Amino acid sequence: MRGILLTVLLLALLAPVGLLAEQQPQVTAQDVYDYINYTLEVSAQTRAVLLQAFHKGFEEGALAPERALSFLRRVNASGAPIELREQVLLTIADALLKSVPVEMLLSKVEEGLAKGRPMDEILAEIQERKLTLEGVKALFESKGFRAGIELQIGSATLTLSVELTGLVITDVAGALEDYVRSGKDPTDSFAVYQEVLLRLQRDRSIPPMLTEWVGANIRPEELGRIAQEIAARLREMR
Amino acid sequence: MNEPKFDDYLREGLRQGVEGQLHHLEGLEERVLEKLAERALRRGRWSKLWRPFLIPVARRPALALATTAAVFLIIGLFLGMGLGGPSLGGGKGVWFVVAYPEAQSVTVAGDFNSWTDTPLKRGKDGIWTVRLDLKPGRYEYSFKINGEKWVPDPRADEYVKTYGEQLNSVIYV
Repeated sequence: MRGILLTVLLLALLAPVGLLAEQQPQVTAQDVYDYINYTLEVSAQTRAVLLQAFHKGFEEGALAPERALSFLRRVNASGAPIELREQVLLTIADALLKSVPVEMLLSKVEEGLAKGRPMDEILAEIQERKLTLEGVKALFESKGFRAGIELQIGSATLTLSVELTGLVITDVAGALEDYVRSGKDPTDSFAVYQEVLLRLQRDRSIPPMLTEWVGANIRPEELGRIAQEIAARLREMR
Repeated sequence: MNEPKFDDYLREGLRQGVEGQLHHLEGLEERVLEKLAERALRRGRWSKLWRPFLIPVARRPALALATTAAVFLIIGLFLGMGLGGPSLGGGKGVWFVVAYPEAQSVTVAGDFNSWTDTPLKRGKDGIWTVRLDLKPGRYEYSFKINGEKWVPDPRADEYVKTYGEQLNSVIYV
């Protein structure tokens, strides 16, 4: 009886230790730099750009080291020609250096790799989407929407974080891309505007007051212009 | 003269009242004992299980400590296992369900797991399910059948085109 009691007691004491050991060790920015320096198969020039870009991304809180490392490993292990891999990584690096949100781009690369799409197709996909993200970011910044500022909406005030600005820009860019790719009319600015607002409304990670701000500050024709640019790029790609 | 007569009437009335109720008292003692025995029998089955825990701590401190430890161990294991589903961010539990009776394997990949395969479990009648913990947000995903064929989720909130004419499913959490 005493033996059983001691065993149960020992198991209970060791369980938290076991659970902690089961968790992945925390990935640091240094782990990512080490991977870029010693493991990633890229030229010295590309390596320097990647180091600079990922450092900026970590500093700004645009990307977590764990996410970056898993992405780099995935691209490195893809088996695609090294030039194409470099181009994909440089596209991401350019976005990081311009403070453009990268989550949509990372996800599209991972999706393409998972579905076995050729790397040149993946590259074209993210280059096109990156231009949309840049366009949306420029439009929103021209209206004073940027990380760190306080937005006044009615009587309420909201301080914009890097994460929140990234989510809004990504949602708007994604809604524009999906609208055009589904074959809808990009010249119908009001329909484009409604699609964007609907996307923001449905995404519960976006505070409703931000959707309100977009509705009040971004004009339908401004979103329509970006939708038409997407349509033109997609025509060129086909 | 009148007072003794009144007392007699009162006494006679009470006697008749008690005698009228005597039949209720017949076998009362046996009936009470029988009920008490029934209760003791009902409680006996469970009390055997509970008895060790009801012993004062001072008499069995090791047992009390071990019991407490076992309870914490079970709770800890449940928390560690994410209460029955893979955790991808510690959010709301979302069920992914698809019917593929002939499939050998079904996985789901999407924005929530960096497009890596999370296996679904086959249930009765070929219904495949998995529960994932997702933070609020919008997620694109797709099912993969037998490790090769990508198919959209018939229960998705919406669908979007991706990589040419392929369709991704979308879920809002």
